[in-house]
Amino acid sequence: MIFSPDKEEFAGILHILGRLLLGLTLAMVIPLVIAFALREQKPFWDFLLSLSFTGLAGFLLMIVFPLKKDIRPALAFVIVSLSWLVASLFGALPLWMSGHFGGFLDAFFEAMSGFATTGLSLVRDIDHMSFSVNAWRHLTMFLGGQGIVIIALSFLIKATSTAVGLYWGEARDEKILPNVIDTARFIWAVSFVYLILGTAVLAGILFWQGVPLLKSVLHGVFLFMAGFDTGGFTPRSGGIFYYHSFALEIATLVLMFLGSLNFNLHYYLWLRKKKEAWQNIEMRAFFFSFTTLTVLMTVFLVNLGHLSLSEGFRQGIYQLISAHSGCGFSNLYPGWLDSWPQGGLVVLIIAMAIGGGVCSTTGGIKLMRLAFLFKGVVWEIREKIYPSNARLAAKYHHLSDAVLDDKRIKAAFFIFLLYLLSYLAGGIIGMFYGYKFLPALFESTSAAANVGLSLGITCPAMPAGLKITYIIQMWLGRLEFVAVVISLGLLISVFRRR
Amino acid sequence: MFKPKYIFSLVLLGVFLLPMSSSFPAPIFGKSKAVIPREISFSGEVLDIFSRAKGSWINLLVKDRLVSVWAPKGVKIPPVKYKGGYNTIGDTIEVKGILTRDFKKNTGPVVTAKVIERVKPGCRFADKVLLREKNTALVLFASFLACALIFVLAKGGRKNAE
Repeated sequence: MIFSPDKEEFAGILHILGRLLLGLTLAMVIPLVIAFALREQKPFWDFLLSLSFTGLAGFLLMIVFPLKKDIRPALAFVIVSLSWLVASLFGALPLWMSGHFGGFLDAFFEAMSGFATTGLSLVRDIDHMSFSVNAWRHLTMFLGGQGIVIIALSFLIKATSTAVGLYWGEARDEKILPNVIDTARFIWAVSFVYLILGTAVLAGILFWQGVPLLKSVLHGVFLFMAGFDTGGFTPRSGGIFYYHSFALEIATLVLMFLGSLNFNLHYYLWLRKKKEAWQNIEMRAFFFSFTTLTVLMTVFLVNLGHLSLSEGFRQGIYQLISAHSGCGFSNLYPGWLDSWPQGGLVVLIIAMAIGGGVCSTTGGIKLMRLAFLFKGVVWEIREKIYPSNARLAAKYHHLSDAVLDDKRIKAAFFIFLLYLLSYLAGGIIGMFYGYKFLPALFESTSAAANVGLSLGITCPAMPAGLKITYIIQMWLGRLEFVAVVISLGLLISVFRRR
Repeated sequence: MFKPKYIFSLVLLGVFLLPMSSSFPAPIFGKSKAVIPREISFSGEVLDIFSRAKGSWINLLVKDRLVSVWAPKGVKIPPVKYKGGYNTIGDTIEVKGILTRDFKKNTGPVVTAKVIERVKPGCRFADKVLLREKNTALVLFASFLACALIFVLAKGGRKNAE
């Protein structure tokens, strides 16, 4: 029987959501300060209003609904599911007020895309957008990539069983350190170090390419947040193409790759255990998948697209890493992806669907799950062809040697199936609105795997129903379904009880 | 990592793909190749100019779309006072040039400018903030601070009681 939360637990859920809103309020101080420093008057008042409203809502929730007892882990999944919705709802306020969006739904879409590190955008006239609003767009990606809950765990919530539940609820399958709070703080620390280094490199390249200093620094920070957190927003139209810089393309490639790595691998690399990088099952899966898809992509682009090998390689590799890492940056001329051979688009869909490492900022099925499924299939075949008394075991290496069991394969298959259904459902809904199957599937996969590459379907003029579909896909994809499915189960149990 | 079986798999994949690729249908870029290169003339708002060794990239906003123009060293670029950005409408320039499919300079079609002229100056404008918005923001901010104070005092009170 499914258990139902009691009144005190309901109050606890709302209390913790209030805390998360306070965290969001603090985050809004950053664009507020930027608006003040750069004398962007309208955005300054927009941010003051949004910040006050969000903070007020947060404090009211905390005062009216005090936290009286620890929340059960299953309810932490509800908090995580709701926190992404609530953050997007309040985070959309300054975007909506900026006047760059067709309505609140578009701003909500943008905020969800930011927090889910997707990168699909409905912004209008981005080239005339203020730095502070752009800062907020990119900050949502940074906060979402780190995990709203990770930040809350690091600074706002004490070590309790609730904290553990929240951590798992946010689609983080592994702990790096024994304590989840320490793990959250480690993830935060890693990202902060990369933020400084990455920003310095990107700003340096932009400045060297002739961009004024202040703009270089701001665009450097924005691109870092979108690149490392595999988000994909850019501060100007045209994505990475806008800057016409090969050096920037290389730097963002590295960032996207780093962002798609499991945070555990970062930890091991920090400890200089380089051997792990070669032995790790995820790295091997990435190497295999990336090499195969690169060969396919180059063949498609060179033969069908009639590009030279170097052109096909430059275009193909960038889009492929972008799709595989779930970032969504593009170095192509705006709208040019639409002219690619269908085979190239299919390769991108596969890369987007797979995604990067678990416990990273990427979306999608994830490499480790695919590797488990592959090993599971091989195991199954071996069992059929070996004598019945033979003792077979599938082994893998991830931080340490381990034996693959049925439970892991089953869990991997469950998520794999849900992602596939989501990709397909979004594609079918896109077809319902009159789009062709391949572009509809491409866009749907991009939304559900939190990538952000687009064939042009995602635009302010697209049907509201499709906007809502992609919002739901981004939300589900970011939380890897589990938290939302559990929340829905609990919701049904509450209604049944009544 | 680089076990022979992986290398063998890749070679096998390559061997499989190469003959397959030669039997592919007509190129999809063929159509656009037939249309370009051609003479082109348009005007747009200047967003950015990036100088490079052999020329400059000029990013223009043409009817809400980004168009990048390559201006080789010999082509004179008129002085641009305003570039499009927040609260700024960039100067409008007219470009006469050739549209080509040149992937070496770009990852898409390129307009190589022959003549560039400034046709309309840009301008800066000030923000307009409604008094009602300012008042609402101030009232909400004051309420937020009051709430924060109540929360802190209540928390302190609870701690003292314990």
